[in-house]
Amino acid sequence: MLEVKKTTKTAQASESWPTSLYARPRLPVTPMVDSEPIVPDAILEGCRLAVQQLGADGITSLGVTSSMRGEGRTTISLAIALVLAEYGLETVLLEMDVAHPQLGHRLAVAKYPGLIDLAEGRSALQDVMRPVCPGLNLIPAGQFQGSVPRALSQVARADILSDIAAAGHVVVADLPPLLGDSTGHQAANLMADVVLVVRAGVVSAAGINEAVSGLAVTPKVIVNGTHSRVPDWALRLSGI
Amino acid sequence: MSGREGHSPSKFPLESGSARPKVTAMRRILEVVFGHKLLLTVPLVAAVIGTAGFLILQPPSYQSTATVFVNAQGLGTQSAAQTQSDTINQYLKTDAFAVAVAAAGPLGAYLDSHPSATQSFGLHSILGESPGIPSADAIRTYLAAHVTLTQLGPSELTIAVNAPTAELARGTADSLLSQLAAAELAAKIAATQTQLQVYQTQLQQQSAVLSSDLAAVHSYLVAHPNLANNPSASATDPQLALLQDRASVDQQTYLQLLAKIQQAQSDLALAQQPKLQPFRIVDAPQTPAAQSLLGKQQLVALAAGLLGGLLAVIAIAALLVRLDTTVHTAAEVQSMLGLTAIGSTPLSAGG
Repeated sequence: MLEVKKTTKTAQASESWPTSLYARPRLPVTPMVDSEPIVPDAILEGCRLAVQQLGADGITSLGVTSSMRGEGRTTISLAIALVLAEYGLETVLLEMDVAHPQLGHRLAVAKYPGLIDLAEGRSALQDVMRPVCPGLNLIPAGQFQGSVPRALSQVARADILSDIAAAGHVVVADLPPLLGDSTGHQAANLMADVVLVVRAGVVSAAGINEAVSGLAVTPKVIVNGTHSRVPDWALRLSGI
Repeated sequence: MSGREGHSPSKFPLESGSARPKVTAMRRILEVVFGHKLLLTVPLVAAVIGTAGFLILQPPSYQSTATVFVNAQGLGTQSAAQTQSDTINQYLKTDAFAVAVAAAGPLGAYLDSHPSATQSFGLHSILGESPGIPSADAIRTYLAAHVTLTQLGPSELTIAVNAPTAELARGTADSLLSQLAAAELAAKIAATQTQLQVYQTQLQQQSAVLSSDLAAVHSYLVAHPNLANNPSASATDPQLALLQDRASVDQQTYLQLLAKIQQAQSDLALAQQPKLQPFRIVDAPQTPAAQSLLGKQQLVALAAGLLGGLLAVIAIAALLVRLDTTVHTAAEVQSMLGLTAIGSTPLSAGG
C-alpha cells in the first residue's frame, strides 16, 4: 500500500451538483508518492464531474485512451480510478499500454508480475493486483516480450476482464493511444465503455475523428488542459 | 450502465447545452491568440527593432522653431491659425516658393553640395548612382518633408524646420519666414499694384490729351490776336470757349487720376507696414543647441514601423485562428467532433 494521507477535506459538492456521487461519504484518503498527491485536486474534481455524468453505478470496464501520446491519458485514468474508489467501488486500474507502461513507476509499485503474466498463465489474479489505496488496486503491464497485438489478443482470449468483474471489481484501463498503430483500437474494443482524452489545442478535429473511427464503442470525451490562457482583462474587454 | 439515465444534464456544468456561438467563437479566437503570444510578439518586436535601426542610421537632425501670431481672421469656421497653416502648406507645395526659400537661405547651398539628401529613398540611392543638382521638385519635396506646422491656439502657430545641422535649421527657418512674409505681402498688394500701373498709364495718356488741348487754345489765341487784348471779346468767342472748356475737363480728369495714384501709393505703403502683415513673429527661430530626437520624418518612420508590425500581428493571428481546428473547450466537442463531452480538467502532465 502507498502512504496514505488523511484528508480533512469533505465532499465539496455545490448545491448545483448531482448528489448521487456523494450519497456515500468519500473515503478519506488521498494516495501520496514522495509526499505529493499522485493526482492534483483540480483534475480529481474534473473527473468526479465526468464520472457523475457517465454514471458510476453502471461502469464495468472503462478504457481511457487518446488520439496521441502526451494528452494526459494516464493521469485521467488514474484520477477516474481514484474517483470510483472514493465512491466505494472496488476498482482495478489496469495498465494495458504494455509497450509504454507508466503507472507502475508512477505509483512506485513493482512492475511485474502483471497483466501479461496473468494472460499467459504465469501468475494468478491475486498475485498481480497491487493495492494503491483502499478500494483501488493496480495491475501493472507485467513482463512483456514479443508483439503488442499478440499480447492483447492473449488478454482477450484469457477473458481477464470477465474474471476481474466476477471478483467484484470495476476495471479502469489505461489504453494505448489510438493513432499510430492498431493496438489502441484493439485494446479499446475490449472495453464496455471508452473515454477519449482530448488535450485542448493539440490535436486537430480531423485527427481525432480519424482516431475514433472504427471503435466499437462511441467514446465519451474529457477535454484536458482547459486552463484558459486568456487573461481576465482580455475576457472583460471582449465581454465574455 | 444503469446509472447513466438518472442524471440531469442541466445540472452538469459544461457549456455545451447553453453555449452561445458568438461567445464561443470569441473565446476560441482569444485562446488561439493568447496561446501563441510569443509568435505574435515576434513581428511587433521585429518592427520596433527595424524602426529603431532605421532611426539610428538616419543623419542627425536639428530643429529650429518659430512661433507666429496670425493677425488675419480665419476663413469661415476655421481659426486664424488653421487658415494660415493651410496657406503655408499651399506655399510649400509650390516649386517657386521652395526654390525661393532655398535660394534666400543656406538650404540651396547645402542641397547643391549634398544632392543625395533629396533622394534618400530614391532609385538613385538604391542603385548607387550619384545624383545631380537637385531639381526644383526635389527641393520642394525636401522642404515639405522637413517643415512641421503645429497650431498652439486659435491665432498662434509654430513653424519647425528640421535639418542635418543647427545652422541650416535656423537659416532655413529664417528664410522660410521671410519668404512667407514676402509672398503674403505680394499677394496682398498685387491688386493695388496692378491698379496703380493702370492709373499711371491713364495719367500719361491724359497728360498728352491735356497738352494737346492747351496747345489748341494757344494756337487759337495766336491766330486771333485781338482776343488776347480784349477780355470781353474773348469771353464771347464761342470757339475759344469750346477749346477752353475741353481743356478744363481734361485737366479735371488728369487731376483725378493723379489723386487716385497718390491714394494707391498710400495704400501700398500702408500695406507694407509691419503691424498690418498677415502674421507677426512672436518667437524668432533660434540655433538649436542639441539634436532633435523625434522630428517629422522620425515620427512618420516610427508610426509606419509600429503600424506595419501591428498589421503583421493581426495577419498572423487571423491566419492562426483560421488554421486552428483543435478543440479548446468542452463546449466545442459536440459541434466539432460530434461526440459527447463528459468533463474537462485543467492541464495535467502528459501520459
